[in-house]
Amino acid sequence: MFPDSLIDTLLNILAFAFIGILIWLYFKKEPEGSQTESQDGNENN
Amino acid sequence: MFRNPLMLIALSLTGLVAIWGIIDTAGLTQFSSSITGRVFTSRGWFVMLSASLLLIVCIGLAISRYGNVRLGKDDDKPEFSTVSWLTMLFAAGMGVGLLFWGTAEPLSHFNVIRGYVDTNFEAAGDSLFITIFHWGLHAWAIYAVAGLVIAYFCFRKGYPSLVSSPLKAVFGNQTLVRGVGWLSDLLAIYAIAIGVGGSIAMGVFQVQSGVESLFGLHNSGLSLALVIFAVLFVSYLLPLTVDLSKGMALLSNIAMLIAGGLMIFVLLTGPTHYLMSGITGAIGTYFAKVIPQGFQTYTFFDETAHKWFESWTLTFMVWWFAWAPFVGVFIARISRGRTIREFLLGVILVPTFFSIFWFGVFGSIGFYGVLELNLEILEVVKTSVNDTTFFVLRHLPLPVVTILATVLAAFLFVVTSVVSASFVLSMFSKGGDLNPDAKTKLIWGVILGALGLVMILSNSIDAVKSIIALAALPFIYIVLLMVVCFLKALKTEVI
Repeated sequence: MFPDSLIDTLLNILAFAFIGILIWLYFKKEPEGSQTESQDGNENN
Repeated sequence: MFRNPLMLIALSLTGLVAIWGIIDTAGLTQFSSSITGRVFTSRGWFVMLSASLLLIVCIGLAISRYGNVRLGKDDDKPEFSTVSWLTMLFAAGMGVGLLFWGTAEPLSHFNVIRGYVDTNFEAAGDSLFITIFHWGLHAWAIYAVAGLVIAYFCFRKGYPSLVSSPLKAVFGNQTLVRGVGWLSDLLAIYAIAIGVGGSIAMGVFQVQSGVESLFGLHNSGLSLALVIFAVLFVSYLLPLTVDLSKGMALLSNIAMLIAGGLMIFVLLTGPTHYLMSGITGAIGTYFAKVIPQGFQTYTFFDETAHKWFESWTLTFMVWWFAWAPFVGVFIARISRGRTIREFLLGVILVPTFFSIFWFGVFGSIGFYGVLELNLEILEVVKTSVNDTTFFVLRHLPLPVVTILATVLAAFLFVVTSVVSASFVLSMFSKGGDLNPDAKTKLIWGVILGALGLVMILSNSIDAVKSIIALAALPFIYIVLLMVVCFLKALKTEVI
């Protein structure tokens, strides 16, 4: 019971952390110029 | 090739899984089942929440002002007419899974659900609804998001058609971003390879049952499955050596026409009023219940219901995530010049309506057999799920023709899927190269075959489902990350 419950808690904490990171990334201000502008295919191989 | 670490690691990783599975099939199956069981129990809520949020994001984008943003330059026009585009979406949505599960899935649910409701009639309606839920808006929202993000960053921002492109486009090219991007591409390759391997196994099981049905064989076992696999393997390796993209599109359309024809045949030669009533009822039930069902996790039910939920709903949802990069690239490629609104409405609604019709016909005819004719289909579903579709066809006119058509369609669906998947895998593993060389495609073809063989050797559709689920689980995180990148990039659009 104990290890099962511990694994369950850890797996869920990881999911919470991931959701937190997604929210943080969404609201995080990016430095000027790092947001994409048209590349006009310059990265296409 | 050997100077490309992504390609080498992706090949090694998928190759190792294939070797492990061939040497110790039971061990791999046991490992996959125990890990997916553990993760499903702990994170079932996260999977359902993610799928539902993706659907809500799609609806929100479609009705927002961002719906007018074009997937391409502002003056780009759609490459294909709307009718051709919708037809191709049908082709993407149609697969061997629909042929396999058409009748088998609603009846499998019926076996469980009738233990929880008052009457068999109610259980039949609920079973049909759950089946359509698995193949409907949520599934296509997952595909649509993957396709939308890839199309946006490829056609509007000029980045390669890679899963990592949104990350690099939005967060720059720092070491950490490059690392996460690299890992995303690797996980996408891994998820596609295992997912398509599962499709090969399902196709072989389906063709095997069809051949058994045609020639009156019983329990032909692994030997017939291996012969079918060998024929399939040769059939898809040959087209990989030459550019047959147009030929493949033709084969895919033929398979789709056969499947569509089969559906109409069953509708017209079966109890038409019963099937039409089933479809009509399914439309109403589906749209009334679909959003709450997306958040249903069966928390307060017993162990049987939990197991059923994990082995069906959760497995299907992660299955769609596994296929998302593959189907996403395909629908992105045919959608250049469409607005986000057109893209989302087309990609989500059209295949969903098709699924309602498909399962409405094949599911309802299964229930007609159970509830009206007292046929032993439920036993067939329990003991030989691969044979369910053929059992139904044997009770309709011209069984030899329809069984042959089903076998042919299943075969063509698998061949075209593997050829397309080999192309996408080669493209991903070579940094987005739109014209990967034949050698790379052949290597991926062989790896996909080996993975398919592993799943055939497992000789169990449940084992196939758990192996795919294990590969797909990490990709859920990547899709969510892609959505955040996309929403951030959209904020910079001037509407």
